[in-house]
Amino acid sequence: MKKKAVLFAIIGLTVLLTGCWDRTEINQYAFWMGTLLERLEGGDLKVSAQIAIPSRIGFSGNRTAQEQRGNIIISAVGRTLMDTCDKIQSKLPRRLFIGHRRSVFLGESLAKKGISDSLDMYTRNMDTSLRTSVFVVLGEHPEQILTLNSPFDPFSANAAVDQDNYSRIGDKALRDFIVAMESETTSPILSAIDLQPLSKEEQGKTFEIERLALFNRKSEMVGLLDEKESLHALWIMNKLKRTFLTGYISEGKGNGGYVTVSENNMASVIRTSVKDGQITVAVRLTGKGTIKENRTSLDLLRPGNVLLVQQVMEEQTKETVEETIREVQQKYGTDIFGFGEAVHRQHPYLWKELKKDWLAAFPKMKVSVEVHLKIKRIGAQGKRV
Amino acid sequence: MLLKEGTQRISLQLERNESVLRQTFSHCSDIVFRHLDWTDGTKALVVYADGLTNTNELEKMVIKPLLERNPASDQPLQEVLKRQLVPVADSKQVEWLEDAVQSILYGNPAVFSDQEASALIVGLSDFPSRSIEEPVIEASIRGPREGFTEVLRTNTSMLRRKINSHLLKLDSIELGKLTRTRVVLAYLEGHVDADVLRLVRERMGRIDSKAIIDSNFIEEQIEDKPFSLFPQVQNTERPDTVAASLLEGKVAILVDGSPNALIVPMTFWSGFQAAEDHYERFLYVSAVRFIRILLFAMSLLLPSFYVALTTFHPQMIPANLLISIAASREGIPFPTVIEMLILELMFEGLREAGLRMPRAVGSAVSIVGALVIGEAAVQAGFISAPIVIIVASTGIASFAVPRYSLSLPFRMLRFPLLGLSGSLGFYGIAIGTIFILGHLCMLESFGVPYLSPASTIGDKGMGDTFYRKPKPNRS
Repeated sequence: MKKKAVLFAIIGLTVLLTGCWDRTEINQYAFWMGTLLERLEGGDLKVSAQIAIPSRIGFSGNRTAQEQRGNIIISAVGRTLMDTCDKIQSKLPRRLFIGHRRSVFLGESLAKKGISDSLDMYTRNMDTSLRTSVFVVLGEHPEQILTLNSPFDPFSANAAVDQDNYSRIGDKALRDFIVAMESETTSPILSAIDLQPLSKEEQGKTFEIERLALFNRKSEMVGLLDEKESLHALWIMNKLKRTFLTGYISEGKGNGGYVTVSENNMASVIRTSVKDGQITVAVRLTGKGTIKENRTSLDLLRPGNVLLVQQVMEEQTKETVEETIREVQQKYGTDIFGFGEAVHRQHPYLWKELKKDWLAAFPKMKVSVEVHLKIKRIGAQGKRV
Repeated sequence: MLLKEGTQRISLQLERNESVLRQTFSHCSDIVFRHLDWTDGTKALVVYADGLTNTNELEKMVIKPLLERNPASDQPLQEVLKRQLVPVADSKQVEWLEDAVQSILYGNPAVFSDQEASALIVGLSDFPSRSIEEPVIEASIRGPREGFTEVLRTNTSMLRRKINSHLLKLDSIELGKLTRTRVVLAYLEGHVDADVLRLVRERMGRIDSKAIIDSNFIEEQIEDKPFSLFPQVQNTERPDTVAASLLEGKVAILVDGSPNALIVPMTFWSGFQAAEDHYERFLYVSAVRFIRILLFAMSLLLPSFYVALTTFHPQMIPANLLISIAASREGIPFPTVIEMLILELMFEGLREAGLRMPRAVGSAVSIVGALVIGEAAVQAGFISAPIVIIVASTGIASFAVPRYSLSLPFRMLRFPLLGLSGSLGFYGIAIGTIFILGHLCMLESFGVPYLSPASTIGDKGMGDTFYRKPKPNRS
């Protein structure tokens, strides 16, 4: 009994008296919500941190003033990321907490110079989640992304992640970038943020995510795909599950006009063949559609007309997709679609030879596209009103 | 000449008996001595405890017929009495004064005469008692509504009415050297676990205390590990619960003067079984069981989880929630653990105060508690709002455990766990729960593992633990 009491006393005292607690109260943390990396003229890194100000957000939900931002931007310049993180810490009265950072923004100028060296810190250390979203911010003034005051989220860093989820080009995380870089041939892509809003009302409140930034194997940003091309690229990569396709119908009895089809269950199959060193890629794109808008005078209750729409859509889509692929092949020469991986999988023995000058072979590949859009439903009426 | 145990025979001399009894009952104002004299010189003495005996009946059945005896018929007094007493159920002859004294104290009058060296005990014990009422602690919506009272006979009668079988055995024992409390050991012959019954008898036989006032006086003396926080003897105030337990092969102990019957052996899972579970349809009951187990885990772990999460592992809280919590903690002077401890203690205090508060004042306590702790403390910035939410939910969760006695250990264990989580985070919680689990695994109640049937492989009988299996359907 006495022994037990002594034992308990010793355990209790070591816990209470030594003070070696790992405990940090939640209000002793500075929550780092988003990062912006920029490259300065001299080659130095500028890191800006979006730090939460909890009291401005308030648990009761009523933000004191809509115009007042719930965060503060702290910047520092240094040679490495860790170096600058330290400098940011010395500007804050609370301990930096990085576990909840959901997005990293990269300035366009930095992206063009290559980002592998900057991402090293994030992949080397465990405290950055692989689910962290990475964006390229287009334009001369990327710092505006952090000061942006979204009416929907106190942090533009979180708003960007959510918007990336709902935007048509889907969510892209650090993990996807790493996976692409780890393959021998695939080039990575990232979502690009456009800060140029259409109206004054949107100024400083919203941004647009609809374009893809293309990177080469050296992780340098080489170009941008426009909205339509981005969707096509993602479809080929089998990452797009639903979208809207619009085509112009001019044939038939009716007057010409546009038709928009909502596609879902979208998928792609890449078949490759190698003959005498010439690589041929056949891309088969499929989807099931519902006609959502019909601006022509076609009566869709007639099966023939639906078939017509389907055929025209397939043809037009095929053309534009081929164009997209050709542009990527010729202009950028980056294999963002994973054609190299497909050849690797389907011709593992030939691959050893082929991969040696894949970069040269990629633009010369023959790519044929086949589109199958099955229109299943025409909506609630046949002819337009 | 004072009475010694089993030494004093009743003598033929009435005066001698009387003097011994008067000495024995000196300063006992409620003991009544009544002399009866006949013309032929025959004398009799009736002794009874006033208030414990039905005096009307005594008058009608004993004293009046005796006085009407014709002395000339020369019928012995005792004969008349025996004939007269046929309608009175429980009467017997005793030869030892000590037995007579005990009977008088139980409320049965003793009739002495100078014709025989024995006393006649008339079973006319009757005393005011509470009527059968609805159980207070274990109320139910469906099912029987009677609860045990303080009178042992009433309690055994309720039990017998539930199981109308000769197999229901009600062994009577007298415990407590001074209080002479009657205790009944109830079991179902052929169903009872013989080892348990033997153990109960053995341990009850070893009880050597002066007083048994409530069933807990027995519980504490027969349980396996008195220093364990967990109750190893189940108590109930519902006859139907006792009956069901007997059918499961358990042993019940009923104590005179206590409305709580004891049931052994107790297992951990019986803490989740409300009597109503067997009167409601099984699907609903199984779902509710699941909720109960969840709430029970909450009542033990929620405060320490909150402390560990917010002070050690903020990574695990979703970002928006984290910022909300951080906002509400802005400017709070105490560390989270201390905050939680203060509020938990206040809550326990409120509960304790509300328990024994006169009903008229009770509502005042809850108003003051809710206002002071819930409103003012948060608004003044002493306590953060999430802590109030956590403590309140924990409180509600702890009330969801149907057996009050099993909710007590978890109420107490919450505090050491809070200390562990406040100093070591989830690691501390893990250590704490491992210790609790280890203890539960080692614990036995009358030779039955506490966690059985969940802890014993291949043991049947899981049908009334995490869920309740349906009764056989004959459609």
